[in-house]
Amino acid sequence: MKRHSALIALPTATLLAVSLAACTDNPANKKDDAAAAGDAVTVTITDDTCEVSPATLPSGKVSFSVTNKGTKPNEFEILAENQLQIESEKENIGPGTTTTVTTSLDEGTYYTACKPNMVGDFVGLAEFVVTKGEEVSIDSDTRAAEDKGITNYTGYVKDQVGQLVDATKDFTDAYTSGDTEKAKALYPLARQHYERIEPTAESFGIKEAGDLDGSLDARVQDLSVDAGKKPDDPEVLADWTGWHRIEADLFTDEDEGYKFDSEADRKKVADKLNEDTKTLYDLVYGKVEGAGGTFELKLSDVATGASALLEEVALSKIGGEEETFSHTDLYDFHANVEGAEVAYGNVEELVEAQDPELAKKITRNLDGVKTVLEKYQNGRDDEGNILYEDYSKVAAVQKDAGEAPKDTDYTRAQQELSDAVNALSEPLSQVSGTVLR
Amino acid sequence: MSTDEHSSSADGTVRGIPRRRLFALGGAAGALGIAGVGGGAVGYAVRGAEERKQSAVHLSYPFRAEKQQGILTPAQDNMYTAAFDVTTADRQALIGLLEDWTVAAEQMSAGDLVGGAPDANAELPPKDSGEVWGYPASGLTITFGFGATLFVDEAGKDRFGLQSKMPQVLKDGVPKFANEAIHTSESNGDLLVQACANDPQVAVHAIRNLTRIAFGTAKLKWGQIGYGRTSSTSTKQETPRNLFGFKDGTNNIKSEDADGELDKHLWVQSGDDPASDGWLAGGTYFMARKIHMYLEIWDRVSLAEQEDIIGRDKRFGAPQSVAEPAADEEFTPIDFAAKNAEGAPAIDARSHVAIVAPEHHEGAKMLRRGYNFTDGNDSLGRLDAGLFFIAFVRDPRTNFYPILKAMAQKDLLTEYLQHQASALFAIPPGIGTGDTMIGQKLFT
Repeated sequence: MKRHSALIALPTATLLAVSLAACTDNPANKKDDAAAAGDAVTVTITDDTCEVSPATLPSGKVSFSVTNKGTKPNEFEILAENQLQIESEKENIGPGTTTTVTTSLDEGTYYTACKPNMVGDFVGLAEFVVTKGEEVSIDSDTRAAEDKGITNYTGYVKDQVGQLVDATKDFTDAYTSGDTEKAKALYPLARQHYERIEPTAESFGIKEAGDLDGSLDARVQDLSVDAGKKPDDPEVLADWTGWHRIEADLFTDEDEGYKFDSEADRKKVADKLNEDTKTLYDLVYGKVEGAGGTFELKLSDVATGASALLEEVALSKIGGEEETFSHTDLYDFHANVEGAEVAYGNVEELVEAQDPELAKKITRNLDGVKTVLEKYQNGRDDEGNILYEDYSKVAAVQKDAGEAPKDTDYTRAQQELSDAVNALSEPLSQVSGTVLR
Repeated sequence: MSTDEHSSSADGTVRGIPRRRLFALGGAAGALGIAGVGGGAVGYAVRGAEERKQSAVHLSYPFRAEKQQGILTPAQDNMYTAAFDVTTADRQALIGLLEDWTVAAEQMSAGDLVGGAPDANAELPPKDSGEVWGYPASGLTITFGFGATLFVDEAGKDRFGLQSKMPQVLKDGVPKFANEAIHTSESNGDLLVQACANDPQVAVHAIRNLTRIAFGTAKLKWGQIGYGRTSSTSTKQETPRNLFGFKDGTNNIKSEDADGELDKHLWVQSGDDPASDGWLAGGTYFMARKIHMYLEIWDRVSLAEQEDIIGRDKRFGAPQSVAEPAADEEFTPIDFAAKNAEGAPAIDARSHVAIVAPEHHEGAKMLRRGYNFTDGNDSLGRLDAGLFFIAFVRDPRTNFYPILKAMAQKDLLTEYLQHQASALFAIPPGIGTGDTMIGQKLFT
């Protein structure tokens, strides 16, 4: 997504002036033939020329002030030495307009060029040399912000997994003691701790990555498809553990074939759920090593975490496949969005520095999703947890792992939720590319 | 080669010949060998068809011109037409979308990737989905239009400050016709994108990438994939057949027609409509009807009756007023007064050609540019197929509605058809050299 309108040029330029004020080098070091880091390069475009002045600059942040004096909309590109890869670009610069292109360039040889109407061959391809500048390839502010982002998000994952252990215990206690109503009420709330950190939790395994998630969160539709059998086939049911096995027992009637035969069976599946959850906790806290070694998050995990959570929503929550017996999908949906908001919040500062327009868009579209979700909230419980409507009442869903609804049956509510998720997913998919330079 | 491997030197030469040259020579010799075999007429015919196919995918149409592409452009073999609903209330966001679409459309119709070559940053999702990377432009054209609901919503609210520029034709909307079963969810919309190409993957790629650009601003409302153009818009093109097996669109407006003819029937003229004059003069209207054809029933109708219903012979497309149909009779003017051997009218007054003939509608013509569709089958095993009828006209109130009304009421063919969706859009003129977006005059 490119940024629009010349309006952006001003704020960016101002922002730059502020952020560079801290690291501009001493004016005495300025050479005559090269601009200093932070100076703007002037680009003048006509329909058949593309003049860049000066043509050399020390490494660091560079801003190009581009004026189109021609008659056609034009594009300005900064290319790598191979003249193929685009380092930075600005499309659709209208005739008579001026815009600013800001980017960080390391030492090396680049090429600048224009492309009238954004198509065909380059016009005015010229070498642009970046010399070794002050060591500002990554300033301490950025480094600090990155470290803080990783630390905070790791803290969040640990906090959620800690709460998950307790909430799971409360839920299974109610369930095994036969307090069905309480168990039903606690089920979606306990799961939210898992859903908030789902992409991270999903990557965990002891023997192999992901096997823990399979044990905790497998859906019967997937198991039965893998086995090539019906969902209520005894062989499928025998291998099924975790949250959704208990969900099927709790939320279905006797005649549907998902009920456990005995208290002992219920206890067995509940114990297993607690045990697996504890293993997840131990992995996150580094008490045991998983298939991939000791748990450690990188900046890329934080940046992609938000996108991955929205993918979860789009793939299994909108269609109501996740909670096929309890129809508590909106609780999961809400938790996924909360998790995405936290993950993004930890890199927001970095995004704002690189691409303020993108940051604005994400904030706006995140609000959009929350606004749609609010329509289906049913007040709060005594603990202050937000309660949601039964998803099957507002959406066309797959009931009891049966036939999925026809793709033409989605309700207005589902379409609205889906639109809001799409609107947020697109800009979120740009985050990791923006912060991982 | 393998026996020579040991004698190849480090610089990749074998016995003094650079290795790459050697391969090139081998390749040329191989090609010659094949060409040598096909010396006969058969080989020639195959090559001729191949060449036609080759040239069709290598066509490329300029995006910027006085008129939009995809109207008078010789009809391509594949179509993907889609309508979008704008989901934002922000005028600036809508303008931003149209700017982005314009750039992407220009790049795609030139055979380039959306956003140019992939970015150096591998952490970003590629701007272009990539399924036609390295493919030729394949004659891709992308045509944009604006629907009534872009100007005012169903409650009559001016959505983007465009109400004063709304064309009367869009205000009036399409009247209801007899025997139709219109699905509103597959009809009309705020924005139209018609993508046509000589490679189906290229057409689908265009809609897919424009849809992606639109997330958060506009969403796909309906789309229709079509194949096997059902009309010819150039005298160079053979008249294609519709799914009833008849040549369709013989009597069409052609791009070679005199400008006077095109101005009269196709292009909106200055003064046609004061409200939209400033931005729509030189443009046109797009009228689509998704017409389900009851193929299974039609296929049980005798040849004689099929020809009577259409009013043309099935083999050559000659009008029934011609006593001895032959290949060169397709474009023979229809003589509605002609009698057959029994002394009865040669052409039934209720036949399709009689009902839609320009001479029965005060000379009104339209530029037809429809496509066949087959979207799987119903649960009874019947094909969900038919004609995605598209016409471009200067004014649907004179050049389209009267003809459709006559068809719905009297045409013998109507028994085998059902209109299931309908779409009307205003098509602004082409994008000028200095423009940064389609329909720029509408927003300034």
